[in-house]
Amino acid sequence: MGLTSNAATTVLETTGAMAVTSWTALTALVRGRAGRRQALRQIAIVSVDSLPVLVLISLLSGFVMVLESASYVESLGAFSLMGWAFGLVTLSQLGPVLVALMFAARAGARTTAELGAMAVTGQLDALRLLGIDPVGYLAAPRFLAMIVMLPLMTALCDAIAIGAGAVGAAVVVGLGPALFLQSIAQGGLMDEFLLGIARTFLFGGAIAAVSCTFGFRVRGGAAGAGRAVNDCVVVSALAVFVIDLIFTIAVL
Amino acid sequence: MNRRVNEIGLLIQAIVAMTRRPPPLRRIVREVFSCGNRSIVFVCVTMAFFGMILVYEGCMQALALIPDLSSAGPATIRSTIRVFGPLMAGLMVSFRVGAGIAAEAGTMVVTEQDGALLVSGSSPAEWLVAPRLVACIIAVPALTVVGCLAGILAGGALGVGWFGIHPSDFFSLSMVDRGDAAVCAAKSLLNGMAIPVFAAAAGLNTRGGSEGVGVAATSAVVRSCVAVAVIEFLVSTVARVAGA
Repeated sequence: MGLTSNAATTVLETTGAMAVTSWTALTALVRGRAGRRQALRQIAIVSVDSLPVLVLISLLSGFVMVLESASYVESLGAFSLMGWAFGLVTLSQLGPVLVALMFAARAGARTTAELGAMAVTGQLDALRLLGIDPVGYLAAPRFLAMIVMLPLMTALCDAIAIGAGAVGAAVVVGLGPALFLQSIAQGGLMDEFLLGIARTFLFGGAIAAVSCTFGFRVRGGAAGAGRAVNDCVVVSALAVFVIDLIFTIAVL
Repeated sequence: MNRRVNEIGLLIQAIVAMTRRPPPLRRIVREVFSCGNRSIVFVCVTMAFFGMILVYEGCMQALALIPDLSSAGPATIRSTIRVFGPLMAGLMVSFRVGAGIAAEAGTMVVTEQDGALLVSGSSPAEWLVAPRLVACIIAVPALTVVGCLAGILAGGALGVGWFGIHPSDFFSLSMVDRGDAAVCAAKSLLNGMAIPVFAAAAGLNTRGGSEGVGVAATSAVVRSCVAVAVIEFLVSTVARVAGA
């Protein structure tokens, strides 16, 4: 009983803290309080930091999808549908979810570690002393960077995964890349692509909210920062799956 | 200790250390608990959500083409066992335990406990990696199986409850054969080997004091996730070539 009520308190407390952080950061953004240089810097950091791993994951998942669908396609003789099915799975679900998960592991974890180090060394208090609200000043540019960059990087990774799929299809089942790409282009997948991108705005916001909140709340030195990074990726992953299910049911 | 630790080397060192002096059973049990039991709720919840997303999206797309959902269940079960189960469970275990392993290893490096281990005739590979390697080889396949079950059951509940698929149509293993089970087993076993080794290597390469520990913890998660994706790719390739 004590354990359950403790867990419930933690969940409620964390949700509340995330809501407060998001509200403060987003109002600061809307009022134009986020420094342009800070925001540009965060955008550069977030994208440069996560791009290599995102590209690698999209290449690998593109190849895996082709490898695993090859036996279906061959047994049904449905070569002309291969590109369409690949595009459907990649654009609507797998691309956005995998990119968001890896983005949380890279950019989200980094943000928590960074803000956590500032919290531990008393830099947040220094900001408060100068009359600057640390949440607005530090979180707003990070929110902006993640909400803007995650959709862009998802679009890029979709393209990379489709390229990998085209190459993979040529190697694995001997399907010409032109045929593969044509099957995607003529499959009427624009809606799936746009819906896939639309949900990444929510993912980006959620990852920013989780990573900033856990960063600001770090207590207890380096060990506390390590725990916060761990919690950040775990809660971000949960948030991505929950948002994805709700979004999928809401729009389809 | 300024040598860079490399993952393959660390794996070999840990295996050699293990054959010379097997880690005590109590330690292995403790590590299985901290890797397996602590991740099980997280893995099940994420896999359940993923299973529901898979079924919902699949059924909606199928309904647009044909009003027949009888193959939705078997196809979901097969793709979960073969691809999504090992991949998602591997990623989630990396998320849950990767940072912790790296933080512990990194703290040992920063406080020079790794040198103390060497002086006392042990090594980070023996003390830190070997027990976790055994533990993860036990825990990750188990978590993958439980996670697949959670995903299939949650997806099935949605398919039966929402789309009105008959349970015996949905929960049918007609598309699953031994090859799929072998692929799932191979992927999850290799994931169990890779995750602790990649995470510990990131931690042992910590530079620059306690701030470096945070950097190591974040890079541990990413590195073990990439290892999971590479394993997914390699096993799928081998399975394709072998015709499984």
